[in-house]
Amino acid sequence: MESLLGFGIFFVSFAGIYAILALGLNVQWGYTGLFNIGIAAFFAVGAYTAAILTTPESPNHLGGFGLPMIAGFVVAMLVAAVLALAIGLITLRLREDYLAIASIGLAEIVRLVLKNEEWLTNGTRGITAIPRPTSVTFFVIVAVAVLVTYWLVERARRSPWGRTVRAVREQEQAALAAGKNVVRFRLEAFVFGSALMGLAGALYAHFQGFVGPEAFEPMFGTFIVWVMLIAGGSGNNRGALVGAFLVWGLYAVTGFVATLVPPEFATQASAARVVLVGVLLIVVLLYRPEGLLPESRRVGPGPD
Amino acid sequence: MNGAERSQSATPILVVDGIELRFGGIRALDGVNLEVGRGSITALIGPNGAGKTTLFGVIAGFLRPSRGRVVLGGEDVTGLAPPRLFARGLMRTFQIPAVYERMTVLDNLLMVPGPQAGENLLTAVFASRAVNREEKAFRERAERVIAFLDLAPVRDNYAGQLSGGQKKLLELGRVMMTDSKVVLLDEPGAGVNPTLMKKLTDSIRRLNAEWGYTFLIIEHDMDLVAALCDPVIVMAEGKVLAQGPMASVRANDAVREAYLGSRSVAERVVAGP
Ligand SMILES: Nc1ncnc2c1ncn2[C@@H]1O[C@H](COP(=O)(O)OP(=O)(O)O)[C@@H](O)[C@H]1O
Ligand SMILES: [Mg+2]
Repeated sequence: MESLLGFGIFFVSFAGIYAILALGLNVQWGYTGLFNIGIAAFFAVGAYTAAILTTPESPNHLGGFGLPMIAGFVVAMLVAAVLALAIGLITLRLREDYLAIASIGLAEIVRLVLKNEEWLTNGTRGITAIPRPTSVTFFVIVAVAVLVTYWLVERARRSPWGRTVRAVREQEQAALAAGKNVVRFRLEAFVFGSALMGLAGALYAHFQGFVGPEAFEPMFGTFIVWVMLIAGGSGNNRGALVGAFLVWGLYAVTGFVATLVPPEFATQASAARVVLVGVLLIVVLLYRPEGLLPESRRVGPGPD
Repeated sequence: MNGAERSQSATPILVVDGIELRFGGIRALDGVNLEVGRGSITALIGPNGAGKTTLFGVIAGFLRPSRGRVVLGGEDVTGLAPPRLFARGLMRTFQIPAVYERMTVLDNLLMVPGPQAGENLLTAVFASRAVNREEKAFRERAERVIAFLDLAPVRDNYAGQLSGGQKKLLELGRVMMTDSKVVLLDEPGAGVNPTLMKKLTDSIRRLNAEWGYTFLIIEHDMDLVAALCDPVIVMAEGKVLAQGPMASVRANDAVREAYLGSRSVAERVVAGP
């Protein structure tokens, strides 16, 4: 019983981190139509920023600075936001595909830096001794972070800002003709979403107590977040939450099953789990092309 | 005094002076000169490929001319980006209706006024009271526009579900959400059924007379042009051929010649309504 509760707390905490990633992606893709396939970059930068700021001083990597966790959260969001601003300023005035190319490139560069710049990140050995609250405390922290994030993104959606970024997504030319500075709106959505991804990274660092480059490979850093949003319902924040818990739930359950197979099939088992996530996506899209909870018709202030 | 009478005496609100623009080897605009009188409903006609839509793109800041000037309300606005021109009271519509397909008709209208306090992300999230006050005024205006254009039955439908004619009306509705000075309509009558067409003409006339909008209208429907517009400007092959009241334009030899390529329109221009 107690271990079941423990597992529940662990599961919800982990899924909550992914929920924040999915909400961030929803601001970018769901609201605004920005094709960010380098989520892992912002996730990783947030995680490492928090790690470097909050760990005790270490000869193995930059810092650490022994700062409180809250400082790590704030600066992780800021660093992810600044990175997004830089990439956005370069790509968001160009054709749409440039953001896709630039973001995937950025994720690769970030991963290489994590692996190779030992002075900064301790290379493949990663950063250890990141402060870890008790699982219950962490659960509370994640829950608060998810609720605050949800509140923020919903307020943004149900505002004239949310309406205008949706118009930018739908018809750039008409939005221009209606006087909207489409580059500014795209940039704001991109920075906003990326800052949330940075926050998710910081939470992840304190959840694990350890960060290394392999956690930010495209599969777990980017692909699975896209599956969560698309299956849950792009444009719908509750959909993003449902998608995060559903996909992570599937992944966790199959992980438990995988521990039962003999060790010589371990590789196949982990590949099968990834395939299952893909199958889930296909099944959802076959029966509900707009995801489990589709985007609501109305945007902006007032009732849906 | 109606729009047509006013146009005779008024100073031009829009001047296009020697505009040139090429697409690769094609001279889409080859030294266009024209003036649009303040308060007029001016038609811009001409065979397909004459450069009319391209000229709208230049005037509204979507395309940059290689030579020439656009003067709006006495100020040189050549090369300004579309949002800047919108801020100076210029609004355009598109030949292929450009509506926000996955937004309701109401939201298509509400997004137009600007800049809105609630378009600032921080204000939107943390200061909703100011936003709501402003929103109320936009909402009232949008409801009036919806009533004016008979769009009430489709008010909460996605704009993507509208008929072609309704989309044209919705584009006109978006124009009505601002206090525009100059409105460029690109083939407002294309694909519009006769009932809606009457609505459209009436709306344009009322917006001109009561709201003070100046219109420059690209249109192939010569009945609409004859009923609504004065003067008429004729373009062909990137140049202005003739300009004046419909009757004098009809009698113009160069215009007859230019239209020989596209017979159906030519017959109606030459024969009259
Ligand atoms: N984006 C473009 N690229 C290349 N050629 C174009 C483009 N837009 C228009 N043209 C060409 O410019 C000329 C004028 O086109 P357009 O302005 O659409 O004419 P109209 O609106 O009078 O029918 C045509 O020859 C057309 O093929
Ligand atoms: Mg055209």
